[in-house]
Amino acid sequence: MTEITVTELSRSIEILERKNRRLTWLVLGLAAVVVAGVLGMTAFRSRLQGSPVSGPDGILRVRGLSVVDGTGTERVFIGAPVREPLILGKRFPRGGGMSGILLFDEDGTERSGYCTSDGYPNVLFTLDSIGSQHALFMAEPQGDTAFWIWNGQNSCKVTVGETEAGLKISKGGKAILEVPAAEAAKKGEAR
Amino acid sequence: MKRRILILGLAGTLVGMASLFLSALGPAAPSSESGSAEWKGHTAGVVGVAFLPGSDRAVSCGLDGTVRLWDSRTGVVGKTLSAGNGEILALSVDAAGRAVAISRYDGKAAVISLTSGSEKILAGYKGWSADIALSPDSRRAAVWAMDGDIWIFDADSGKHETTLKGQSNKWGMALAWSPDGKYLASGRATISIWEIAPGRVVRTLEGHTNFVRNLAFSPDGRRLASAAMDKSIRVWDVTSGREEFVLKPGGFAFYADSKLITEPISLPATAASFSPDGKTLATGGADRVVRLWDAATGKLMNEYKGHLRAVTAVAFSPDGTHLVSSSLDHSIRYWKLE
Repeated sequence: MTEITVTELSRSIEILERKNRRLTWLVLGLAAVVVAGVLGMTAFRSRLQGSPVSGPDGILRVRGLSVVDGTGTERVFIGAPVREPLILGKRFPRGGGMSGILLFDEDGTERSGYCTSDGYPNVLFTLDSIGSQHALFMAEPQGDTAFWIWNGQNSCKVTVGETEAGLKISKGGKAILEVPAAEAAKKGEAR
Repeated sequence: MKRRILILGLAGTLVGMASLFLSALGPAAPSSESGSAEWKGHTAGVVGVAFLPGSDRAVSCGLDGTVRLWDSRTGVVGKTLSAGNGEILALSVDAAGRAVAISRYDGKAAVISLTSGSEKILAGYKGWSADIALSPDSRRAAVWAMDGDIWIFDADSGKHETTLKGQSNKWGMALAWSPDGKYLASGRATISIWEIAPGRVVRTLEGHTNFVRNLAFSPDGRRLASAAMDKSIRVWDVTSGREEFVLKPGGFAFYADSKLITEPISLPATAASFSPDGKTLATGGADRVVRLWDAATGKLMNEYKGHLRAVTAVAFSPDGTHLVSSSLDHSIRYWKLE
């Protein structure tokens, strides 16, 4: 057993004290980080609960939701209101506020919508080619309902109201079938 | 053990970053694509591309909100000009190749210096403009407001200079200056030729049945090409207002299981551009095909397939040996003409 001199002993104590100080600071630092983390999480959760995004009932509340494909192109949009239509990379004005669901093709061009309109409260469903509407299924607030399909001057229109119903098929802009025929004839005479 | 975990973690991060990067590149190109150089960098559809006059450089803009400068010899982006937030809908390059005008969906058009990157905002008009046109002398920029008026700005100061009074709410999406800068063509379904000095319509060109998407004057200013949503491209004699011929391209090119298939249907035309000698007309459209036509006869000369989404713009190189086309597939293609 070797003898420890007083100098060596005091040096060892000094080293131990230094290590102790470092450890103390480390523990204090870690404690500060943990406390900050807990406080941050608490603040974040309380902010999240208080924000319009997620209510205490767990319902997600947003003004719009965009679903994109693997290339980042928007393919589905749910919004109140929905945005102006994008057709082959150009924005068109919609001409009125709409809220609902839009579908886009792989170019990002709007091709279909299932919406209610602001102002006059119609509900409608549309199918579009690239740049033109070709099918419209619409119900008005009082119950009048219509279904139209068309391509250029060829069209088919079915309408139902509280007191009447009708069907009209046109080819080249001229009616080739109109039901009820009598009412159509009367309308023609009236004109 | 710790080192293994660290390496695995790093590898996972790299794989994740690589997949994110690849997804930003746009649709994956099939192996059988055409012989053209593909320029990638935009992270959304590219809606405009043009060569800088007398230069090997091209400039593009996209729905990702950026304007990019390309070296056509390498296909590398030399500069990315951040043009603010939001979609850019159109671009126009000045005759000296020093500035580019852009139109934004947020309603703030701008003239950007390609040397300093500084922006001059053109604002005050209603809504946004689907197109923008810089005059050949670079002094004026035209935008078409949503209320139907065409606003002419001083491109240097950004100040509103004059308004061409259009029909109420009859906005359009195609503008083009004549090479002498005296006339401005604006296209809805009907095309109007405006004389700028008195600000009146001097010619009306009727024939299209849906929106005109793009207008291009021939280099001598005598002819005008219009590409429209009605699936046709028309070439007009500007002096007489006579329609010279109508082009109706057919053939939608798409890939299925990496095989190129052409379906014989017609889709809207979006782009037209005359070659520097005026003898050739290039067109593009929703059918994803770039076509070259004899500008005198309207005879189809060649077709270029390779884009995976709609073509939005076409432009010849200043020496007429190459063509660039932009697409909603996030890419630009650089075609060597045969």
